Amino acid sequence: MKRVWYRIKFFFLSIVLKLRGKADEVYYIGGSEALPPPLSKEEEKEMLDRVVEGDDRAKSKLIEHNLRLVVYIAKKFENTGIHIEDLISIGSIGLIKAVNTFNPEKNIKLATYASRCIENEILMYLRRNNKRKTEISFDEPLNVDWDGNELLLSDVLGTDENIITKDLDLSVDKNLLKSALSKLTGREKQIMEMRFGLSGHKEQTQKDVAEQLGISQSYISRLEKKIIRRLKKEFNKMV
Amino acid sequence: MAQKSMKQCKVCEEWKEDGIYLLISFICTSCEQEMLETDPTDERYQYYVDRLKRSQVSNLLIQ
Repeated sequence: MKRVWYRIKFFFLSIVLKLRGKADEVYYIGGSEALPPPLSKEEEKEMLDRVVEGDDRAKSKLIEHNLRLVVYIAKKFENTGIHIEDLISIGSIGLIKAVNTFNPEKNIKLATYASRCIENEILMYLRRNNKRKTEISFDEPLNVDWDGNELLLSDVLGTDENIITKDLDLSVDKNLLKSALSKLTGREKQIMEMRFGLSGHKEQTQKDVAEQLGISQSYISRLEKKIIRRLKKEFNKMV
Repeated sequence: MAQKSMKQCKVCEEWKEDGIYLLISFICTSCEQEMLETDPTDERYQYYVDRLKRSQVSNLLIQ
């Protein structure tokens, strides 16, 4: 079946090439001689000279006679998950770039230079593709309901409810606390500041505060409860 | 001087005189130039890959 398909391809290609006046350059698609063979050194030099003069036919010939490289290199990347048709298209672009940028004065063969260009083109594409695999669009449809309405990723994405008001609330709370603290006596205020690390103080245990103020821990505990009740009352008055 | 014939570019689908052949597919000079300047990391690159794929060149090259 495959062989029949190759013969159809061959027939199709031979007609097209005949129409282009290249009947002498028909190659069997599907066999080892499927593509135009590499040019001889002399032919290649002649074509390169003509390319410099702006001859597009010479450029086409250089491209076509190096297409074997594209197929050979593309096949090396078949296991990367990219379809062979894409790899050959990418490799062909790499080859076109190679023929356009090749400098005959540099001591390097066109085939060597083209191979590097084709491989680089495919590698760059693969890198881009791998990077994209980790990216997802906000407009990515997750599901479609019975009426055909798409559920997009952006529909289900959100932020914490208080993300915008959080800082504002904190600022208001700080002001309320400051105001309530101002209603306390100096000693009460000092105890709260030491216990809860307010107004630049370091947070301390009841025991530490008791030791520093020369009173018992149980007394600090009772005072603390009493002050907190008072602060709550002050808050209620303000809110 | 022989008059050049108009050929349909497989990339832009416009009829142009100048360009190159990739086996059976004609690529006009302006599309060729754009392809040369397009990097595989560019958004536009996939467009050229798809156009060449549609031109059946890849298909003919696969053995």
